[in-house]
Amino acid sequence: MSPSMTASAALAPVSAVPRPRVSADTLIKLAAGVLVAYLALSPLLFLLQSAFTEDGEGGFSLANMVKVFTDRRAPGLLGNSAVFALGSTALAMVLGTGLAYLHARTDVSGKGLIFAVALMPMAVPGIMYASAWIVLGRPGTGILNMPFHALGLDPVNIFSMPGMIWIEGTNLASVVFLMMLAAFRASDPGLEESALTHGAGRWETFFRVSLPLVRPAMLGAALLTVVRALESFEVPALVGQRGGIWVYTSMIYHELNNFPTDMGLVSAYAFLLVLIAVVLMAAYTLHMRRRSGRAVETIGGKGFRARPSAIRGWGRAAANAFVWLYIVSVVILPTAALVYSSLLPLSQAPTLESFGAMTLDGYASVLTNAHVRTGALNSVLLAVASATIVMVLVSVVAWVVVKGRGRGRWVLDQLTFFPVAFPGIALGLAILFVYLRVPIGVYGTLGILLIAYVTKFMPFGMRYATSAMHQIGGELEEAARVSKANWAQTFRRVVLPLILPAFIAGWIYVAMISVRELSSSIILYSADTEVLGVAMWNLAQNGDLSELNALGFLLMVVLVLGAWGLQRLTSRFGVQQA
Amino acid sequence: MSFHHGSRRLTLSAGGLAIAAAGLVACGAGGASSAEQACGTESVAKEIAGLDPADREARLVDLAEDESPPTIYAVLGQDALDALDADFQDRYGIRMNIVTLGTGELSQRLAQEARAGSVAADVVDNEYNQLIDYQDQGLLAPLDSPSLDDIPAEVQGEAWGANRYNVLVALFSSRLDAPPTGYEDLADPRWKGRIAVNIANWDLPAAVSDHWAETKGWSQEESLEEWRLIVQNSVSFDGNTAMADALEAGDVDVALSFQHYYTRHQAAGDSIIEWEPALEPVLFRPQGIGITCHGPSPAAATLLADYLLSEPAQTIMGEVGGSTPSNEDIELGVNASDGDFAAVYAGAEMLEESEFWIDQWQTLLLDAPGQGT
Repeated sequence: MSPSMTASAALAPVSAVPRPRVSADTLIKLAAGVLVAYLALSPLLFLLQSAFTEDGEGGFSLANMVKVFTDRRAPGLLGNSAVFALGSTALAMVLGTGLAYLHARTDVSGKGLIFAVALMPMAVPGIMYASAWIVLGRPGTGILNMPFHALGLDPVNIFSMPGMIWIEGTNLASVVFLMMLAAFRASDPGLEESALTHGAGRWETFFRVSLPLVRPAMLGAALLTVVRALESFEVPALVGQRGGIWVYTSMIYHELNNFPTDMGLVSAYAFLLVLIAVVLMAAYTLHMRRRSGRAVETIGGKGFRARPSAIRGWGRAAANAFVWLYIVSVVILPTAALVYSSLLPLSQAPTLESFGAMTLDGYASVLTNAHVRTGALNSVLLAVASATIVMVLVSVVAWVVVKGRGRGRWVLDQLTFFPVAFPGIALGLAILFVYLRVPIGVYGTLGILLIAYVTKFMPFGMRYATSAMHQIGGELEEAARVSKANWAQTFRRVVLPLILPAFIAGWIYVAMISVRELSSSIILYSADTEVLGVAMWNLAQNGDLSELNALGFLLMVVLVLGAWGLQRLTSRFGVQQA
Repeated sequence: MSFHHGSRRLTLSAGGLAIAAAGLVACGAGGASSAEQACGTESVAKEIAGLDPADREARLVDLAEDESPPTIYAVLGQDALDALDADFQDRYGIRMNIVTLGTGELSQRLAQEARAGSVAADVVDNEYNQLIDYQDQGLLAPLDSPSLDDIPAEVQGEAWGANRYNVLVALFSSRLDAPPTGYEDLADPRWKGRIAVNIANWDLPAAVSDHWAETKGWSQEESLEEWRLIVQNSVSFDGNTAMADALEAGDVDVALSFQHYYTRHQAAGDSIIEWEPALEPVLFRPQGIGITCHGPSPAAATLLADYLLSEPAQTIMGEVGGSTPSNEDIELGVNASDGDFAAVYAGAEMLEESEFWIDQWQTLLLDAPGQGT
C-alpha cells in the first residue's frame, strides 16, 4: 500500500467501515432453515385452508372444527386415541430402551442377533404386521388360542385395546431401540462405572445414572412414538374396527371414503392431530430448555471408550430371558404367521389340511410380478435419496436448534416436527395441492414422492439428530474454532463424526420406512412411479393374500439384512467399543 | 451495522420469504379451475361425428397416435387392468398408463387436479355414484360410444357408462348346518358376532328395506329396527376383501360383501364360501367409466372409453376379475334373469335416498353397543 493510500485510510471516517458480508456458513444454515420451514408450512397451510373454510372456498369458518368437537362420538374418540397412543408408547419405551441398554452397555450374548431382530417389526409393512397378529390372536381360530381349546378357553383376543396396544407398541419398539442405542453408545460409561464402584447396584445405576444421561433421547423417542401411534392407521383399521374401537384416524379414513367426501371434516380431524402433536412438542421443548444442558453432555473434550459391562448370576439370566422373550413373542411368532399365510392360497386356521395345501406359488408370483419389480426399484431409489437428504438437512438444523445462538430456534424445531402428526393421506393430499400449482414439473415424477418422503420423515431424523447434539459438549467445537476452522469445517470434521451413530441410525430408520411407505404414495404416484407400498396395496385389494404375505416376508428379510450389514459396516466410525 | 444485526435481518427476511412462498402456494395461486373451460374432447367429437363404428375406431387410432398414451385412474383390480392393457395394446398398439386408487382417493385426486387446472387423467373408472357426482361437477366430457347401445339405459348417463356390476350378496360358510334363509334371519341372536359388515355398503340395507316393504309390507321404521338387530350381531370391517378373508378363515359365518369373492376364492383353492341360495334381494351396484373433460389425450381417451365399454373388455373383466358385465349378452358373473332371486339395480333412484341411508347405516354401525366408540 502506498504512503498516500495509508494516510487516506487513516483519515477515513469510522462510519465508512465496509459492512461484513454474510458468510457461506450462515448461508448454509439459513438455507437449511428456509427449506425446513417451506417443507413444513406449505402442507400445513393447505390443511388450515381446508379445515377452516367451507368446501375449501370462501372465508374463515369454524364449522368443520365445531363438527369435530360436538360430534356425539368425540369423547369416545379422544379417550380411545389417548389410551391407544399412551399405552403403545409405554410398551415401546420399555422394550426398546431395555434392548438398547443391553446391547450397548452389557456383554449379553447374541448382540448381532438382537440388532437384527429388534429391527424386524419395523421392516414389515404395518398392514402385514397387523395381519400376522390377527392370524395369531383372533378369538376362536387364532394360533395362540388353539392349545387352550381343549380346556374350553379362548384367552387371547387381538381385537381389543390391549391387542391394539401390543401390536403398535411392539412395532414402535424398533424406533425406540435405534434411538436409544445411538444415545447409549454416545454416553460416557465412566459415570456408571463410578456408581458401580461406589457400591450402587445395577438397577440403581440404571435408573439413577444411565437413564438420566440419555434423557433427551428418551424424551425424543417418547414424543415420536406417541405421535406415531396417534397417526397410526393400519392397527385401528384392521384390528380396532373389528373390536368396535374407533380412533381419530379411523374417522379420517371413514370420512375420506364417505359419499360425498367432506374434505373439510377430514382436514379438521387431521388438524386436531397436528395440534396435539404441537402441544406435545412444545412441552418437550420447554422441558429440554429448563432441565437439560451440561448435565447430559457426555461427549466432551475428554475422550472415552464405551466398554460393555459384564452381568453375572441372576442378572444375566434375567437379561437373557428378556431378550429371548422379545425374540419369541415379537419376532418369531409374527414372522411364523407371516410365512404360514404366505404359503396358503386361502386363509385358514392351522390344521393338517392346511399344511397339505401349502405351496410356494405366492413367492413365484411375486418374484415375476412386473409391478413388484418396478415398485422395488423406485422404492430403493427413493429410500436412499430421502434418507440422505433428511439426515444431512436435519443434522444442520439440529445444530442450529441445539447449539446455535439467537432467539426463535425453538420455532425451527417445532416446524421440523409438524409433518409427523399429519395422517399420511392428508399429507399426500396437501403435497398434491401444492405441487399441482408450483410449476417445477415434479407432478407425475419420482420428484413429488421424494418431496413427500423428505417432508414426512424429517421429524424422525430430527429426533435422532437433536438427541445426539444434546450429548455433545461445546469444548470440542471451541477447540476447532480456536484452530481457525470455520463452521462448515467444524461441522464436517468434528460434529458429524461425533453424531455419526445417530446419523446412521436415523438414516437406516428413514430408509426402511421409506421402502414400505403407502398412505402418501397412493395419492401421489403415477403409472411410471409405482412404489413397493402401492404394489402391496394392489395385491391386498385384489385379494392376493398369499402373494402379499410372501412379498412382506421377502421385504422383511432384505431390509433387516441390509440394515444389519450397514450397521456392521459403519460401526467402526464414531465412538469405538473396547 | 454489526454482523449479528445483519445476520438476523437476513434470517428474518429468509423466514418471511419461506412463509410467503408457502402461503401463496397453499392459497392456490395460479391455474384456472378446469370446470370453467370447454371440454378438450369437443374437437375429437367433431372429427368422428357421423362415422360408423369401424371408421370411428380407425379415425380415433390415427388421432391417438399423435398423443401420449391415455392415463386411467381406476378402482378396478390390478389383474383385470393388466389384462385389459395387454389386450388394448394388441388391438391398437397403444398402452394404458394405469393408476389404481381407492374410491375416495381417486375422487380427491381428480378434484384437486381439476381445481388446479392440471388434469392428468384421461379416463376415470369408479362406482356409479362417484361418476354421477363427477358428471354433475362438470369434470366429465359427454360420452357417446357405440358400445353404450349394449348397456342398459338405467346404468348410463350423459357422461358415464357402467361396464360391470359389483354384486352385493350375503356370502356364507358352507360349513353351516343351517345357512341363513333371508336377511331378517340374521337378526336372530344365534348369529351374534358371526356377521361381517362394511360401513361403506350403505346401499345394501337400503335395497333390502325396499324389498321388505314390497314383500312384507314393513315400514321404514320396522326395517331400521330389524337392521339394528342385525348390526348388533355384526362385526364391522374396514374393507370387503378383509370380510371375505375372515369368512374363509372361519372368523365369521356370514359376510355381506361382493359375490366375486366367491368366484375368486373358488378359483384359488378349496374355498368354504357360498352364496346360493341367495338371500333376497341381490343388489347390482354399477361401476363404470367416464372421459375427463380436460385430460391430456382426448382422442386416446375416447378410444379407450369405447374399448372399456365394449364386449371384449367386459368379458376380460368378468373372466379375470370375476365381475358381472353390464352387457346382458355376456354370460359371466351373476345373471339376474337366470337366477332364482329378486334383483335390485342401484341407480339414480337409490342415489336420491343415499343421504338418508348413509346417515342411518353409519349411525347403526357407530352407535350400536360394541361398535364405534
